[in-house]
Amino acid sequence: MSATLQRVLELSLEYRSPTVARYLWQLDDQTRRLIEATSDATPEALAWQPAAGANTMGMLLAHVAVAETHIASVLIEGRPESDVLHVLGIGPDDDGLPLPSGARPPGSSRARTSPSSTSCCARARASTRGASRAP
Amino acid sequence: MNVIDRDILQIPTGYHTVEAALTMTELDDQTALLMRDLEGITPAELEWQMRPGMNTIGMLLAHIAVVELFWIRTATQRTSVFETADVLGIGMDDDGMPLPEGHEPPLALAGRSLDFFRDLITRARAFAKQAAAALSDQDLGTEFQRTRRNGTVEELNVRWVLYHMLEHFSGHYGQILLLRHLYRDAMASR
Repeated sequence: MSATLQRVLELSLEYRSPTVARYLWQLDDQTRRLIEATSDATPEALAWQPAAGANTMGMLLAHVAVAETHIASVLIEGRPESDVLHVLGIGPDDDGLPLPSGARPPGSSRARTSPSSTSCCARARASTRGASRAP
Repeated sequence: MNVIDRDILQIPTGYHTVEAALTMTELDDQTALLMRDLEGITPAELEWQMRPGMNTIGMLLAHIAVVELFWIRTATQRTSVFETADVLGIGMDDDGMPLPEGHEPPLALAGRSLDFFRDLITRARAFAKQAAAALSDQDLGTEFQRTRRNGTVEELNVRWVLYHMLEHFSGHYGQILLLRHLYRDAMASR
């Protein structure tokens, strides 16, 4: 018997707004698929640049986590500043974006592994979830 | 104080559900941003391939329109209609995707300008908006099954289809931006 593919978007009741619940479900789905697609990426692959000055996968993964943490803090919680370093363990500029023309990736992203990127994304999502549940 | 940027997502009227209205306005926003980023693109760039077998920006734009029409029909008619020419003027497979290894882009898209692709997306969007406007909250949670062209059975709900239309668009939007960078680099290194 062939397996049935499940594509059902279900709204969690843990949020006060169904719209917020839907966005969180969508973010989780995108993250799950992104992690699946990069789970076998080696540190070399994550640090690979198609050309000097171009973004690497590692930089983009870090950027996704940095941007989400900052947005959750400043735009959802309404704090004057975000504390990306405290939440993620990397600073807000450690993603290296925007990389100057002809530059190499930032040193902080070169030795990253796929699990460390996954963990970074998970910490960012936890901060979004917390901000979205706040009364 | 001067307001220098305004980012307000307004829920359009004319829909039975906020969710459908939000999805359609998000798609419109993504389309406006994409068209801004493609301003001035030439037919040569639209049909440029990094190497044979790879997607072009034109193929991706046609694919976005075809897929949007396919999914809104699937969600509202509960049956997969593999036909798009009646609305778009091009068939379901005229986007050329997936392109077989080593192949060139489909002839149906050769020499086309951005206006052609913008029109495809506009037609698909008009159809999608009309269909989405009629959806109720109960419709969004309705689960149904469909059989894909490869025979796989999938179980989905209408709410997921709306999400998929948006994430599909945005995923290919990112791919299009990357192709623009690669084209620029390829032309500079000639």
